[in-house]
Amino acid sequence: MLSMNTSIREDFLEALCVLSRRSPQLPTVSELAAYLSRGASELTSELQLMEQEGDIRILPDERVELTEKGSETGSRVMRKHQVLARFLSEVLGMDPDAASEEACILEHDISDEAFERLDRYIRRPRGRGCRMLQGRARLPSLLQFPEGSVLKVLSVRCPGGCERLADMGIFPGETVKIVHALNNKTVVVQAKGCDIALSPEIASCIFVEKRE
Amino acid sequence: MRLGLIGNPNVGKSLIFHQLTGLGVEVSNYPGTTVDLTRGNLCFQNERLELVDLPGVYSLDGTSPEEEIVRSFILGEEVEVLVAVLDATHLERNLYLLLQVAEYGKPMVAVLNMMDEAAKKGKEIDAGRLASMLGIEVIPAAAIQGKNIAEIIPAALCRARPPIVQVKYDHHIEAAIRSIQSVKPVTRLQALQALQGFGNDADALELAGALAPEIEEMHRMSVPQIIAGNRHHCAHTISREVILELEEEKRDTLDSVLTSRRWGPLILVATLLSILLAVFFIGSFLEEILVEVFETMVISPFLALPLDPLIQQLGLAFLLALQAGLGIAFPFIFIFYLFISLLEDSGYLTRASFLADRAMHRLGMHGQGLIPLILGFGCNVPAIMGIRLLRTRRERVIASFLVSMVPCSARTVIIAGIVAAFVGIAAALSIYVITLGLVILTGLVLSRITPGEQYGMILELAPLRVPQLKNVVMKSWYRIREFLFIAMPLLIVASLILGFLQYAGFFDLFQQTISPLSEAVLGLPGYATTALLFGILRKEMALETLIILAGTADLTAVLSMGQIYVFAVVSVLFIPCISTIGVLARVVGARITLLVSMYTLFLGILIGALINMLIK
Repeated sequence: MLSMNTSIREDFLEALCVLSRRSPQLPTVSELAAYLSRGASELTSELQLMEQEGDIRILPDERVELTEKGSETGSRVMRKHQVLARFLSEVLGMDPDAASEEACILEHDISDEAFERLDRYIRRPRGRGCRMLQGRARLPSLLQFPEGSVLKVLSVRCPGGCERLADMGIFPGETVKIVHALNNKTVVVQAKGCDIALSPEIASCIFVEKRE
Repeated sequence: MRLGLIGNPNVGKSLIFHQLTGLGVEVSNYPGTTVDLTRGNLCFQNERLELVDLPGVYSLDGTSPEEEIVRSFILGEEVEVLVAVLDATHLERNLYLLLQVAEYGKPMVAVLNMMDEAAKKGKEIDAGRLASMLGIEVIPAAAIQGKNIAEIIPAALCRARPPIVQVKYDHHIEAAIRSIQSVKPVTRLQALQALQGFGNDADALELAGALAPEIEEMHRMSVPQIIAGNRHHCAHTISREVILELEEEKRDTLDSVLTSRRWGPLILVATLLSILLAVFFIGSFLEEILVEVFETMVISPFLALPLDPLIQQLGLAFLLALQAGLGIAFPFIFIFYLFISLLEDSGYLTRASFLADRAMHRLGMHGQGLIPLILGFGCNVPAIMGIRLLRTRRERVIASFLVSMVPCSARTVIIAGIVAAFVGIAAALSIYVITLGLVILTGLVLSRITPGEQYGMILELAPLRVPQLKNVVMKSWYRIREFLFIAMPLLIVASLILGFLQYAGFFDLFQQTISPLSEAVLGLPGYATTALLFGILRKEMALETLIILAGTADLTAVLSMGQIYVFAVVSVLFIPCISTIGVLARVVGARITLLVSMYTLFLGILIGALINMLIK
């Protein structure tokens, strides 16, 4: 019997990684099948193969445990997925769901070097909170649109915390409308049916795209 | 039994509170005017109830002073029932807060206020359906017309229960809540708060601190953003179920003009200028009448009485204080507050903030800083209190300098009382120009040298409404009451001390020492400097003292026009009054208060000396 397809193996390991982080208990075969949107019986042969290769151990109660080797591969693929998805959505401006799907395909073929460089690129500048600020140069902010534009919020990166904006209904995925814009770009946006005035420095942290 | 009224800013909470308790409380149309708790009592079926009006908030998870007050109030055991007030015209955004309140598990009822406005906007809301989705009683109401307000208390007493509605969070968040709970026996609410980085359980916080970055990595959003998104989604689902939208919402054309790029700033400047001028002219007109009446009806008869000199001196000081207080409180401050309340209730004040944002950035603040500056024209004390709403220390420091320099109504009395009366209207207005010029200059400099970062404006524009006369007058009365009961006693005590010192001959001593300096630098006689000193107690007292010390109300007989002008400029600029200093120390600390006082003292003397040199 030939060894199994690499990308299927990697998908399995990635899925097991994600599932085992989600709850303190080890994932079962049926949970894995549900996550991969496949039937539990279809997985049996593939799981056996992986057990032979030393990636996983199947425990008596149908639970799957990752070996050290499997867990290493799985978390590397998971990291690749996250970095790729972030690159696609934050730097290239793709829809987050589409970016995640695309990342599912690319994660298996990207070389380790390309991945490392992409990871470094996306992490700069360091520090929680402002680690994605470099997206500012590439994604258009509220300031770039005229009065009357209907926009979809892609991300919000306020230096002083964006909780107040989120409370008022300005958060990723939501639609807002620019009601007024003054010359210096102080704006009034409509979110959740309410008018909210924003200073230019706040508006420049709200990244958006035009909604058709 | 204690009940709490909770809701977003500007949903009619204070109006409902007022209708239930009958107490004269403030009804505000500016987000965040009520920072402190307002309490009122009422009786229902022989039971005494306490009703607490909480400050309007958008969320319970934030770090602003209002949000912290509300959160600790709800967490405390003392409140038994919460009455959530919802704005029917913005139901979705209001449900967002209600969903958070529901997590605290207190018995609740909801008041669906502004049903009349919602109907006008073509929205029909199924209150019964909303009640069954939330699991609490929902009372449709219209507070402006007083409709259904009487049903709130019986419902809150007999039928309040903890809501059944619960937000389903993202599965990563739910998993994190479960794993925190599996390690440490905390409630779902505490685990959720720990994930957002607050709460008082150190273990839960530490655990959450380890889980949060992983969730943030997977979602490419911060945990508070994910949680907010889930709550908004839940609120959206509910509101879509219960609202029947009959027609598309139209934008108000008046609103478009008021905030338009071309007309907005012009209308703003015109509005503010005309308010200041109106206060100045109507105020001085009324003041003259009041003082005249007081003089002939009270003071002259009193002086005619045969009394002991000490008692006569003290009695006169008391009457003069009363005269000064009433002569100012009513004419200047009350008229000013009437106009400001009118602007506030109409919803224009928030638009003014929006329009002024750019100019305020130059002064190192942002749009919301305009409100304390405007309030400063009435009295600096409440204006300094308003500074607390600014979000960074840098802005509060800059604002404390600028607000202390704004000519308040007491300073207006000096300008109107001696400069306008003896020198001329143009000279009086020129003092405003000098002061405002210095405020702007100070702001320009401070915005460059003050350390700290700037945080911009995030301000909801209150809907434009026709202000209700009753509310406007009531609110002005509420504000003036603070002046009458806090400032007036101080004024009277200070005046009595002044009268005693004069009787004891203290002034002559002081004048002799200060005279050479005063004459050399400011060109003013020694007694004028003594009068300036008393201006620190209350600004308009500089004027009163000057008249007492000069021994005549006709100042032109003893002072030249130049001297009068210099006196007015210095007393307007230098050192804020003692009440302002007290509030400053509370809001920005002793160091900044000292800096503000030293700066204004130096500025006053410098400008006074400069003008003195120019006149010579």
